[in-house]
Amino acid sequence: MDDIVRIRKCLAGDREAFEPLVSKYKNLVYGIALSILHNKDEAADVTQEVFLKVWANLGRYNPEYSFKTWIARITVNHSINVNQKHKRSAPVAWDEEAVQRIPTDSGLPEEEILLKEEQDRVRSAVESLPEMYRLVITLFHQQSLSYDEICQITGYPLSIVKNRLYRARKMLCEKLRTYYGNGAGEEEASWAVKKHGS
Amino acid sequence: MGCEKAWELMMSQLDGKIEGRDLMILENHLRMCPECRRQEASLSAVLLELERARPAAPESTERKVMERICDARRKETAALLPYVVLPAALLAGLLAYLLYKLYMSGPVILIDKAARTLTVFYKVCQSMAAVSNVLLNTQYLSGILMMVGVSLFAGIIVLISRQLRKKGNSQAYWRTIK
Repeated sequence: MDDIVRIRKCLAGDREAFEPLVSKYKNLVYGIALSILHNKDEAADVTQEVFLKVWANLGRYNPEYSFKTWIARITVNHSINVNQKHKRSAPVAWDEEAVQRIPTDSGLPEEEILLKEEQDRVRSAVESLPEMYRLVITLFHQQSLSYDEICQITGYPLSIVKNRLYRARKMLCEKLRTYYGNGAGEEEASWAVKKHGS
Repeated sequence: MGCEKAWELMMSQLDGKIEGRDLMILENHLRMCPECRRQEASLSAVLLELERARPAAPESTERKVMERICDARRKETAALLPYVVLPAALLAGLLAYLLYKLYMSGPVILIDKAARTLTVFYKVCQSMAAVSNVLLNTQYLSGILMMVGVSLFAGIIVLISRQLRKKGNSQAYWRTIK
């Protein structure tokens, strides 16, 4: 069923019609909140608060715009407000998340450790980005949002979004260069295999 | 092709906007340039990890949100009750008293009171028409002015009640938010 149909039902007083909207967008909201807040519990709280805000302001939603971008914009603004209220100086690592995602009962322990190391390395590189770059790269590469959607969510013009994404990629590249720079001689063969198969 | 151009092509590839010929040029460059290959590898690893680590919201989210919405509704209703029940009870009591008094005094008194009310209303209208005649030199304008005044008054009452209802709603919702 279309979002608009569900929203109309909600506005007509059908509370149950709101639940599928929560199910559909909860991961998007949680993902954005987590990328800004870096705290699982706070991101979960913010997710609930965002949906309550959405419910309370559903009458103000303009159907000319996408519901997804509207909800994402509310999430970004609310998360930034929460972040400012707590006045965080340094982000907290996502270690908890990483630990949960690694399977504990399959694969070799060494491989798990290596995988975790790589995940941590990448994650800390992403987290070390300034917030304005981190948000754009998360929205584009993690939430698979388009440039236009990111522009609507952040309120930045397209040129700024493109520029920030470009710089964010460049910064990430620079940060991980030292690690991926090792064993450059062996890389060519593995790269060719990866790209073109055996 | 230089490394700068290769980087631009890599960006286009990530945006999904690279054409077949450019892709071939990029792959040829990467085959020859270890520096760009390193960059491509690190970027791919980061983006792969970002996609893979897409966080999932807790499963209880829907339940908790719906519970909080229900709580907000209940609180909202409870908060409005004193404002609704008390005036309604007073009004009902007053009406009952008036009806009782009129019933007890008989139909002649009732007709007399209705006639008196109509007379008062007619006199008010007459006074307004006289004032209008003196000020604006027409009798009918006062009637129009009165109707406009009544509509305006009713509009203000509706607006205030709507605002109060909206305020009540948002306060109830905001109370649920930490």
